[in-house]
Amino acid sequence: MIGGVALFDFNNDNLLDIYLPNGARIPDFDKSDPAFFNRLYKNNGDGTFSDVTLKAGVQGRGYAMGVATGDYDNDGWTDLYVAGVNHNHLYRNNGDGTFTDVTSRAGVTGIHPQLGKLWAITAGWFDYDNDGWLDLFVSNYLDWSFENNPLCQTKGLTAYCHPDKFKGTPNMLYRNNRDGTFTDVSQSSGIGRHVGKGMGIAFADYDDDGFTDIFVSNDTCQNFFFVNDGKGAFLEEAILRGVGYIESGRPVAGMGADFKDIDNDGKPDIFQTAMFSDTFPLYRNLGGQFIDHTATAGLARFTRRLTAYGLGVFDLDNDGLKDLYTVNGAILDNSMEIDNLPFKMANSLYRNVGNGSFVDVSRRAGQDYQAPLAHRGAACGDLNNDGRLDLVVTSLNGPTQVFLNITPNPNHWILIRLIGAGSNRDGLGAKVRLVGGDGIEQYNQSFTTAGYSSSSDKRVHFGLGRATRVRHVEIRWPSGRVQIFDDLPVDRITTIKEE
Amino acid sequence: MLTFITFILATVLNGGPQVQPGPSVSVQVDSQIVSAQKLMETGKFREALGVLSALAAGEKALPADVFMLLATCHLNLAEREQAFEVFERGMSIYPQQPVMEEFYIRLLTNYVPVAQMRDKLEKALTASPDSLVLLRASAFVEMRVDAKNDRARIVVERLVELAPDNPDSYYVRGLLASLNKQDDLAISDWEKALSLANDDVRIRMDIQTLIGETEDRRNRADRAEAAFKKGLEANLSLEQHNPASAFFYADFLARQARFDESQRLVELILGWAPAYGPALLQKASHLARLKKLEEAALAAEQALAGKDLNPQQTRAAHLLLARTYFQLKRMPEAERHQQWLKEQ
Repeated sequence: MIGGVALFDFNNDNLLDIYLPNGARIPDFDKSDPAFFNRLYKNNGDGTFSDVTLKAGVQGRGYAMGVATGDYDNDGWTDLYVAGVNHNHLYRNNGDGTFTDVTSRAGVTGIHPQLGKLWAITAGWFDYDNDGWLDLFVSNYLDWSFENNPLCQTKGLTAYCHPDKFKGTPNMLYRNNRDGTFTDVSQSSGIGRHVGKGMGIAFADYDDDGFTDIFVSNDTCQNFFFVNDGKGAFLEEAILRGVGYIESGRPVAGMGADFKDIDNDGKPDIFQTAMFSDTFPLYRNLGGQFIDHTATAGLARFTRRLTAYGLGVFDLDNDGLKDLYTVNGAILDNSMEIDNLPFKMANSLYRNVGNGSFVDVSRRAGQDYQAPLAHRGAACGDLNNDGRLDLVVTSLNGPTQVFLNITPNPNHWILIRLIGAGSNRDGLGAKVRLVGGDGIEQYNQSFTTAGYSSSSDKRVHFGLGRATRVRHVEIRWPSGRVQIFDDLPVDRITTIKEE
Repeated sequence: MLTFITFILATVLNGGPQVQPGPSVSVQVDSQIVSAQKLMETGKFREALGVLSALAAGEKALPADVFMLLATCHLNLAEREQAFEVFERGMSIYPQQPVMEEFYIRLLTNYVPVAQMRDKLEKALTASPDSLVLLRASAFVEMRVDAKNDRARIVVERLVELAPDNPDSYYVRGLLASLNKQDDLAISDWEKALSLANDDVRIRMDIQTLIGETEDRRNRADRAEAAFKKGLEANLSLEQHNPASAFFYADFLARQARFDESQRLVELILGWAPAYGPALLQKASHLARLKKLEEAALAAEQALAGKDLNPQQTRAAHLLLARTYFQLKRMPEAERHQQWLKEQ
């Protein structure tokens, strides 16, 4: 397995840079060979990137998988948390192009007090207690090690064992102590009491109570839906809320997840990737309760023959409706021999047509986007600040791909960069309601965690269709403050500071 | 697909032991068999066993029926081992008798786990290597154990080799291909089976339903629907309609988000079989979608109370009930169903 990708602006030049976690030598997880270094690519602003890994000091140790970006110390510089098999790392951004590994000092090693270091697939920053400081959620996968690594074969061919062969592990939650250190609150918050096989995570305030809730996509077992009670604890209510399983009662091989409002009703919905024959579930939020909307949305038939890891819910054509992308590829490299299914797959793009359904426009997304690979992680953001959201996609034993969005349409857009004051400085968790010049309402929420092991642009994006002005923007910060702006200009990046 | 193979297996192999009439050897033997049957009809299995055992001890040329009756008596007296012992003795006396083999398959299907069934079939096939009945059963067992293994392929190919003009051979080989995700091969085999099965409405229904499922899996909804329609037409022409086959069409329509059409078919199925669990569950989902929560819960409870749900559908019923009771704020019931799911 390989991991994801992050799009974040590490040097505050208003250009998104790229960070790629990378594996290590097997079986000793040695990372000294530069081929295994995690990589940081600085965006040069001219369509090219420079490798600044060594200067930044973020090449890492051990087998890395997921990455989460967020300004945990509110100093204005985005930091990195890297989740991995045998090491997790917190890299504090020094603001001078370098980072310092502060993992141990900060107390976010990912080492479980009873179980030791767990295999972390991904992590995410959010402020669960709304105290203005970002907390950290770490998603852990299986109880696997080289000592616990049975040989699994089908048709005489060796393949990864099914997740059923391994026990699950609990996730972890770290509360920010506001002094550069964290406290493991996994047990007291209730998060650590649930054992799963976590892959993707996604955040949103599903019931608009002002507190961020968590969806965890579990591999071949029930998903988790941690409802934040606003008092420091979470209740796991996936089954009761309708997101534990697909409607048929079956768990899917959950991979990535995103948690955004697809139908502009102000209630964030959940999209999840999975494996061949699962379909990729779309759970529509009806206001506290979710319904499996996969078939109604048309996604059942589009996704039934696919396996995907990364995904995202973003408005890729700036028409005011969030679309879906999935980056596809089978799990096993000998998938054809074992399952008569291709290992390398083309990516998918589903256009939101506004009536709760989607159309498959993958074949119109360009030849490069359709090139089959064993795609894994994907992050979304505006790399060239032209208002059209771009994608960066990783692939197993293949190249990382940068997909520039060149959609030729005249739709307008706005990209909102939030700077929290009483809230966390990134403004993660801020809810943005926008009314376009055409009177159409849209909702979005600021989070970087999306997809599989990946971290996307923290700026809040809205496509505006033909509207040439933004009539109204309302921002509800995690601190509870509300700011309203009228008549904002379109086709530009607007910075809003919390006041 | 597991659901579907389970359905096929159930269709083909299920059903309790039924006594088949056989040739009589003498009037005296015949009358003793009739006497034993009468005792069995009134539940006097021990007494019937006495009559049949005496007959078996004295007669050298017993009709095959006696072994079926003996096994049935033992089973009704919860003497499973003796049932198998006596019937396997009968099999050794009457090798290559399709009636005996079919009875044996019913015994195996109903009373032994799959792994043991596999061993017993292998043994039986050693004695009767060309038995179509045993080969067919063996093919189904191998598919259940692991459709990817060579044993399944070898057995199925042997079946085709021995009965190249029998539609059933291609029907079974198509199933194996389907389980191995070789959809083109599966459909090709099923089409061949259809071309050989002009008069067999039941096999036509089954095959069209299989083609419908497979075409849907390949995202060829038009072809899938055409096949499902033909399957339904065949089903409607049967004296006794098959709810399971028709339900696959209803489920397909629901997957296409054509909920109203699906519901109409569900109502038709429930007209044939009012307690048919999968249809009741589909109805419950539809009602939940319409926010008729009390009615949805009732239909799902009825579905669970029946015996038709497969394990996956049972999970779906518990899931729907957990969610629905939660929405109805009936927390103890919601938590009970949630707990059931978590314990699985």
